[in-house]
Amino acid sequence: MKDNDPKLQKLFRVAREAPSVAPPETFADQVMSQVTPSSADNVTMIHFLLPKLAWAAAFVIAAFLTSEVIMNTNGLPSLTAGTDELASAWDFEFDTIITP
Amino acid sequence: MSAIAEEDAACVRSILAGRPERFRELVERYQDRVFAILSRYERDRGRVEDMAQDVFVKAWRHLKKFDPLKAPFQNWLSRMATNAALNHVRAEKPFREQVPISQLGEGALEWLQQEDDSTPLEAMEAREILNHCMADLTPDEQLILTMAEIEGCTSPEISELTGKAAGTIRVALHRAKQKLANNLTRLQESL
Repeated sequence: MKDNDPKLQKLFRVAREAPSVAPPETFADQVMSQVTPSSADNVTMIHFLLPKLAWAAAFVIAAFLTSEVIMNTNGLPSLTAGTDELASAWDFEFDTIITP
Repeated sequence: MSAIAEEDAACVRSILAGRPERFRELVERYQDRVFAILSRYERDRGRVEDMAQDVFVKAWRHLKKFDPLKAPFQNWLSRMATNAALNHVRAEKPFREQVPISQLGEGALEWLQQEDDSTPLEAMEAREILNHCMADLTPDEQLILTMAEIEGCTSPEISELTGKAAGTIRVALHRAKQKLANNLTRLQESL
């Protein structure tokens, strides 16, 4: 080992001087695009929003049906009946305007 | 804690509190350091870039585990880069063992044949010779030797970055140097 020591030291010294690979200018952008989702990523946004919209729609339908059942059970006019009443009132006004 | 370490810790807290864009500051601050570590083990620009990206993505995923009281962010990240380098050396080892002497450049062969130090040696040639002589060292020995002799790290620093005891590092370094010297002698005799 002693005989080769100066040669080894020289090898290490010269190897130490080898320049490192420099990061490209866009390196930080590349990393950030991997770690944070882009705002322009519509597919990701749709994947995120669709289940929430589906649950919201299901909730509204369930709330409507529940209120309908409760109102029918208690003998109150149902939401459908109220809607029919409004529609006939609207028809009456409409007919009056068209045919005075 | 140094000012820069405090700044890094604050940056990490801010990212975890909902400002992911601040991770860019850490990438920009430490990309040179990570590339410098990885360049010691791989010369191909594209592969170094891929490895560096993996290091930062891993850091991002494990950011919650970073504890500024245990080590500054720079050391935590350097340790990840060192682990990535070690994994790379392990994966490359089977291929590096097959590199024949004929693949050494003319300049490297000429330098090896000289008794004195008169022949100039380029950095790339020195790397070629070292890679050839380190081929039969274990990945851990290669890593420790490179960190000590090329990166200029001390035993405690290597200990911190690799997670091994400083005594183990000193023993492994001595053994690795001996193997390297023997391999260099063998290489010179075979020319």
